[in-house]
Amino acid sequence: MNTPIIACYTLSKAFNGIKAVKDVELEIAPGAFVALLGPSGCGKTTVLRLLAGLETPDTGVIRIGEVEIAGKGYALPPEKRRLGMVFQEYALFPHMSVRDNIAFGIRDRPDRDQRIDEVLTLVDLQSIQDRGPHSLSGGQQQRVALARALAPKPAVMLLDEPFSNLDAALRQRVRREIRQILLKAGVTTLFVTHDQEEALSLSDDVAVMIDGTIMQYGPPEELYRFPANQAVAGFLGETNFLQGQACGMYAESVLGRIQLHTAMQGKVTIMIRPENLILAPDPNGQATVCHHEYVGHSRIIMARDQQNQLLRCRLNGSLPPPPIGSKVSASVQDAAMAYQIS
Amino acid sequence: MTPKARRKKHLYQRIFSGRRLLRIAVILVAALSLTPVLYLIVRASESAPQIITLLTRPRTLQVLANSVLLTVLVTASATIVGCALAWLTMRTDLPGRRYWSAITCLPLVLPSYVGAFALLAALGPNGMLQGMLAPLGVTRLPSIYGLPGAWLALTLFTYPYVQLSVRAGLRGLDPALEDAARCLGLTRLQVFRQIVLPHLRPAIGAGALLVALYTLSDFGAVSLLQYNVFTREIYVQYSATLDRSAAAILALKLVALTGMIILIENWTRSHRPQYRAGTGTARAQTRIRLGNWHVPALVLCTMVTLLGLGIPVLVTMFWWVRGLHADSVIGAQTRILLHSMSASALAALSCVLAALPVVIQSVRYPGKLSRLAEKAAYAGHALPGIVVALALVFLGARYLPFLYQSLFMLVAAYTILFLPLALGALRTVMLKLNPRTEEAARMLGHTPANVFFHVTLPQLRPGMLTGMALVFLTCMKELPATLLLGPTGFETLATRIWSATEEAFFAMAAAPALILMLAAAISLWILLHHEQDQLPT
Repeated sequence: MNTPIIACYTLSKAFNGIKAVKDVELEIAPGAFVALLGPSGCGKTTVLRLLAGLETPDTGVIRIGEVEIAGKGYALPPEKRRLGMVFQEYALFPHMSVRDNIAFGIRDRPDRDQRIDEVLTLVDLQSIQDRGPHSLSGGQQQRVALARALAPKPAVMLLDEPFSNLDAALRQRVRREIRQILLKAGVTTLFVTHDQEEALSLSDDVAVMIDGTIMQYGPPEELYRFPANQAVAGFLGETNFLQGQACGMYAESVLGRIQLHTAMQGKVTIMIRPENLILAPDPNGQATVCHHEYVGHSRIIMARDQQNQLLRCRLNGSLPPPPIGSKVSASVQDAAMAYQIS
Repeated sequence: MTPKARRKKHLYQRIFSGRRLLRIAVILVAALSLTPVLYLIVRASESAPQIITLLTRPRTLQVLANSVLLTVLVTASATIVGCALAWLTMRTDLPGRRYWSAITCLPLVLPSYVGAFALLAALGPNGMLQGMLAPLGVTRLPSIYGLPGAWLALTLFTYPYVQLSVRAGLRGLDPALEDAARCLGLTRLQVFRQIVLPHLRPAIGAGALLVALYTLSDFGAVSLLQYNVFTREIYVQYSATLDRSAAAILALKLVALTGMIILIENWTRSHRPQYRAGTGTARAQTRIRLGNWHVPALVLCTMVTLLGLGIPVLVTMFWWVRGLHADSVIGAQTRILLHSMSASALAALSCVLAALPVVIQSVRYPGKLSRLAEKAAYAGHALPGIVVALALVFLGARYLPFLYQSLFMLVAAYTILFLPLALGALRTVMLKLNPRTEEAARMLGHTPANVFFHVTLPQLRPGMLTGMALVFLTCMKELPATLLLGPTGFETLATRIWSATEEAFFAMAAAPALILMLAAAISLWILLHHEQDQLPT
């Protein structure tokens, strides 16, 4: 990896003695689109605010390119960092028009008007530039916030839960739009979200943060298929956890012998995504179908094995499901991840 | 830049940071608010040996007895009238109850000396009534000076405190509680005594406390109606004798009495939690049918409105018209109006400037300091105006001779007395101000100072304007501090009304009184608007 454009090492921050961020390490390559994903209260917004300079770290260093902007005993104030930020509730200046909002960060530049027109075109807001923020829809407000942050041409853009204030119907479209705009602007992006689907579908890399630490950092597919631990696996989507006895590249479980992704020994917890579990109708099967959940494009079938453990299987929504009460046999396709039980 | 140089620069920024300047400003405002009390304590302790003799002087004891008697009587009568009006307008089918509800609150904003002026101009010697009866050969009317006049005047101008408080209490009472009690077999009367009254006790207590504090600190009505309570005695001592320690000790006693009343109210307040089970909007309350009782109810409303509002307005108009005939000097009116307005405008500016750091500190960085500053501001507000004025007179004469007898001292007194008005108005707006907008501005490359002037201040403008308007209109009505601290010859509307009434030149007082009534009406309108803004949206 070439020099990261923004990076932090052993970053920690406590509020009133409670550690919100513990030893966070993060390196973001120039031009990347990265999600910081975690449940609410995990400290992800604090990381963003530390990078922005709105909070001072207790320990650790932050670098932009080669320059250290925060470290032991000092922190560059936010106005000197030249980072762009879009806040969760947009934080538009209510006493200024759209155009004045966008101009606010580039007041002293000679090419100001030209730049404003440029970003207005980029976010497609030329027609409403003289209106006040209160008269705009949520999606429009967000684009104004984005344009305002983009105007000074920051190297890095930080977005705090950018899509959480939009209703579900609008969200899908806005997400794609925003990503397009940011890619076009060629800006490195770090955005915070608690929505795993959003993180997986939008970003080049995802950092999963739980309880103040980054548990795993990598491309979405790697995270989903090979989560580093049970917490990450559980947070990134529905899963089945089965107890098993590992012996090299396979493990014995209630579902019989399961192939493992990596070689292990001893007691393990095996992680199987519902789409990798196959429930086939079988009069002699070990499991009984107990519940269906239809979610449109797919259907979750739940069955109980002899040990009364619940198994979840994802089926194409248009296929007929095995009837409730019928016997099924379960099998696993693909090698599974497993975690040592200590 | 080397890391060392950078660290040094950071240290420099911390020492001269906005946060530190803000803290210094807040400390200065708190110190200003506490000045009168601290000074009075110092002053009185200097003359400690005299204290016992002064305290037990028969004259002092008489003043104490008068003050307590007047406070008890006014509080009792204002509570009865206020509760009755609140209940009638909120819980019965009184005809025109919305109208009564609004109009019966109006006397609240009239200064008490205008009420006393109206009372004297109507019923006093050489008053309207005597003038009308003179052709019939009546030359003497029963005197309204002393206790009866003060009691009547103060009751008429303070009952709205109880009414408003009880009205809020009734609004917060969940009708389901009463329904439940009725279902459990209680009669209407039992429900009232066992459910409604206990629930309303804190509201009644809070209203009564305000009435008692108002009565104790009132100077205008008691001085014009010549009833010798603390405030009047302080003024007499101050202006008639050179012994200023006596006035200081009287003032301290008045402060002690004020503190005692606050303590008593605190102590009797029930600590049982008041709550409504469940969320959601309560069902509309059922109204009690008055039947034949609506005649006495209407008589009560009419009487109160007539005495508290109708008569003052009519009497003032009467004397104003008479004054026009007598051709009183118009130029003098504009001069005193200008005096009033300039002092009030300066005070409005000063209050808002003082409130700004306190509000920012308490909303953005809440903690011990901000709580102390707010408490200090409210303590200054709770002090009787004459006490604050007296303390500043002493302080100015002794330590600040170059400022004594200047407008500066008067504006300082106004600021100490009315700072909370600006605090309240600014706070409402500050709470709504999204701190993220300030952070967004920092992220866009602006320094904290820049952010303050371009993002924070413009957003606070509506609160600053409301605060300034409220302080301005309240200062226009202020009497005791203006009387004691105004520069020589600096006559204002308030002092003109007071001095003219004292000498029974009612026509001279009429025009200023009308202007003040107008100011009062505007301030009430602003208050009501402000109240609406504070409702959660």
